[in-house]
Amino acid sequence: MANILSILIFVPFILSLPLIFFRKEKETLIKVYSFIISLIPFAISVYLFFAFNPASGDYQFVEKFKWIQIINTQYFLGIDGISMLLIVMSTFMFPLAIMASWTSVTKNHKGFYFLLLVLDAGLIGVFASLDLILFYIFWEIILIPMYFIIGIWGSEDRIYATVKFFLYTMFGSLLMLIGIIWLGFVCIPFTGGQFTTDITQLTEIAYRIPVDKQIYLFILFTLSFLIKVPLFPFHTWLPDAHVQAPTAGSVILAAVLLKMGTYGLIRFSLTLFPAAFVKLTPYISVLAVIGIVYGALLSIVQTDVKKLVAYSSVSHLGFIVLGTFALTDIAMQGSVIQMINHGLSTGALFMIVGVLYERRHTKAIAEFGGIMKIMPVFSVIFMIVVLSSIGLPGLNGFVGEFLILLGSFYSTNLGSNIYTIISTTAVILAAVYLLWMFQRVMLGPVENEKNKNLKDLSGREIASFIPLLVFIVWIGVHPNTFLSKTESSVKKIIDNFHSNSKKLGLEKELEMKLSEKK
Amino acid sequence: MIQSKEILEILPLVILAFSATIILMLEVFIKKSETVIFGFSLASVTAAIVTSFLYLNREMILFNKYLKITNSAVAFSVIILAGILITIIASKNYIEKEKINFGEYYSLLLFSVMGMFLMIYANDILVIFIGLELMSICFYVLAGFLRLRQKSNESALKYFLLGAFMTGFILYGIALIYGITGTTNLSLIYANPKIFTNYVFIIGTGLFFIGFMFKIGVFPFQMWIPDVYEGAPTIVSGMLSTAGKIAAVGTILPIILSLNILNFRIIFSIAAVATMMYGNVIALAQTNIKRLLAYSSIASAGYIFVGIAAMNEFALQGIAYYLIAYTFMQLGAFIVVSLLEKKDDGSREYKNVDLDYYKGLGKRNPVIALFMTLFLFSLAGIPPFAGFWGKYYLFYAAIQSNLIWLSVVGIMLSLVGVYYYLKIIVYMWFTDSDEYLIGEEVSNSGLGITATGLAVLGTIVFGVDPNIFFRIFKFIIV
Repeated sequence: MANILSILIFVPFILSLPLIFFRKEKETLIKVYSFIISLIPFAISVYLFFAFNPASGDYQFVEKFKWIQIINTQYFLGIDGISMLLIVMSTFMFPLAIMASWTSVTKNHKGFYFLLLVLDAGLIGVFASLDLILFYIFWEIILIPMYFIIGIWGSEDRIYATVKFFLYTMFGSLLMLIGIIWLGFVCIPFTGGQFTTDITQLTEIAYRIPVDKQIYLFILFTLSFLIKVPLFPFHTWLPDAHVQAPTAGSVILAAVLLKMGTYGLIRFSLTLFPAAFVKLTPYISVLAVIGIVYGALLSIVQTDVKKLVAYSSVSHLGFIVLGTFALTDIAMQGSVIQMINHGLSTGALFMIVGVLYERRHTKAIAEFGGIMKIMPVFSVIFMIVVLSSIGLPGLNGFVGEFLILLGSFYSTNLGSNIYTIISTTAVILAAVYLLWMFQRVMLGPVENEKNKNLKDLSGREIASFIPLLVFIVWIGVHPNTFLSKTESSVKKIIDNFHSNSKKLGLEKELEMKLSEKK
Repeated sequence: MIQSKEILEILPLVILAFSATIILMLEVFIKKSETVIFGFSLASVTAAIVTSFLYLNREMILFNKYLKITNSAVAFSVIILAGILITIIASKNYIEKEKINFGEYYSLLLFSVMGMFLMIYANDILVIFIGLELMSICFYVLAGFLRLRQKSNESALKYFLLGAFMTGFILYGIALIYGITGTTNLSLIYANPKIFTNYVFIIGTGLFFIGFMFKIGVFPFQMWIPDVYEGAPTIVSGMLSTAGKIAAVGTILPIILSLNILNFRIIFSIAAVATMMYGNVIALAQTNIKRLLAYSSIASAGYIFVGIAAMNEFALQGIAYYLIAYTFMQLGAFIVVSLLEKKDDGSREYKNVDLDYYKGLGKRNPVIALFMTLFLFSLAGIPPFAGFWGKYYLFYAAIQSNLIWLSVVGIMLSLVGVYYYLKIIVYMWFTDSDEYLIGEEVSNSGLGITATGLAVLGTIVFGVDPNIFFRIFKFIIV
């Protein structure tokens, strides 16, 4: 299977096309068909997970064809440990998202599932591309299905939210497009006269770009990633998009789409522009820390469950950015595993909000209370997910956050452990807003008459939570299954950074930062 | 010396001229000639496309150095013909609907194409002028073809008066160029680079370019575009905004590249920024879809000028690619508008061209709405549609010439454009129809849908495999 990645990308897309010919009335058939189709990429990615050689940090399953000769662009796919994990996570989330929207999507089923499968294909493409233009194309294609998913199936203010989401993201990505072309031209002297967008080739030479140009290029690229993450102060589109999106949209948005940003930071901002990365670390780390605390504080005061979860994303994603900019093996391992964790826990939280919303058609915390007695099974699942998101030892959230905080505490690139110390407060704040929310929604007496007859989870709903819970516990108890897959890839990125920066004399700068601290 | 066999080297032109004339006679001699004329003009345009390919990679100068066949000219002429082919297919039902199904419509179309061909094949400024006039006069008539409709008359008159005024600029420019160089032959002018810095020559070429900037619709010569496109029959607006612009760009682009006027790059850059800003910002406030598309076509002229400001070898290919993408998406969008337009009921206004009409179109008419969505995404420059590659190549050319500031400004202005394209998509898919529109039938037009389908096909094929174009027109060099 030489072109397994192409198969992985095009299977969901091509097999989603027959949906067009399905009769509109056959809703169950449409759902079952799309569910089965979404399982195929997951099965393939599980195969990838086991076939992947964790000892090597290089790109594997590589496919390379000439595509557009005139601008030397290739159809170039390949994955390392980081992208492999993210691909597995995205293909894993799609069947669950489809199960979560089984009864909550009530109109135009064909369109909804078609768009979800296209989104699936696009996301795999983003994580598997090794050519900047190809990457950009997948990056942009994703906007279209997400735009329609929020715009057609969202709640009242969906149009405002979806247009804001589209324009905000487009703003970043258009700048990145200029960055991509400029990078290609700036690198011409180092490639022997050829314009290239090949990431593997650029990784080896891009560090030689003069520092001032590197900073401009870094900004053009990174801005787009920071918007996607989203980092404070670019986060304002996120709560809107999340609150308005249908459950499946929120789940995919939180679990996978946001990871495109953090993935981009590691894959491009860090590896292509090491000098600029070091120079701009203080600014971005400050923003990350602000985001961590600010997101947590905002979560506390939310009265809407979904908005609370959305702001908690801002806070959690801040950790991942901090871990990336700490530039140590441990912190970056933490960042990668935290991307997965956040996908699992926040995805599950959004599904939980979806369950509540489907039953009561409201997301206001004040409307609930005492649900635990009425929906016991639901409350157990809810509790586990909340604890995982808080970072309770033994569950997945702890592993990621601990590694990030540990790795960033002595980070020479951050230069100070004050970042870590401030960020740690957010771990406590997370317990405050999540547990308080849980208490208000689930505990206490049942005061609202409407809540008395709520049905507990159906078999389908339980089935959609079980896989998430399995992985939440698995990563919490035995993270090595996953950490071992990314270890050498992360190590390679960090080593590559250090060897490049040695050549640039950056090492001195790092040492200076260290001595100042002492 | 002109040799009689040279006529074989310009077959497309000959075919167009002959068939345009024959169409005029067909109407006299055949009863119920509409279908025959339609078929005949389709066949002649197809023949012109096929014969155009005969001259690929065969650089030659013909007819006493009056015409010059280059690869870039062939490329531009094929793009124009592709646009005209789609226009003709879409026209039949439209002109029946508007009750203007006369043979001279097709004849005028073909004559205008002949004019465009003269322009882009010209090797002499006077031939350019003749071609331009032939094209423009046909355009004036076509814009006013709905002669019972006030808007259409207004459109034709505005276009004619301003166009005639601008012709004066071009002619004056030609006179100055002739005065200083003593020739109107382009090869001879290029051969004398010393003259390029002469201020009379600069003023002459400046005036000449101003005339063409008017035709392309570049700021500050764009004011006619919204009025003319709004008033002209919708299909004609589509044709004016694609084929007409391509001809003008295809004419001046080789001249600009050959004159090597890098000193004036800043003027082109400023014109590009002003045009993009004007087109994109004013389009935000439009409520009439034809006017909105008109402003979007002004913005597109701005993107084309980003490529022109780049003035490098790649710019030519980039602009050619942008133009082919632009032909499919812009023409496609106009055809969709024409399909939705209400049948002529003797009213003086166009019906169903308000943006409000597009509310809930996705439910009323999903296929047409889907087509329109594809065109709009392509116009917004979102991959994997042809419009993305068009913009990509243009900005690629600009960055190659180190015009980073221009690219950043341009791409940010194109973001403004994304907003109003999205607005139409929001109307079509996310909002509900006004009540009186529910259940309204769109006049079924098989040919119109076919034409739109062709445009969709072009938008997707050139988006998914951007290589095709370059594979066919290898080495387009001036």
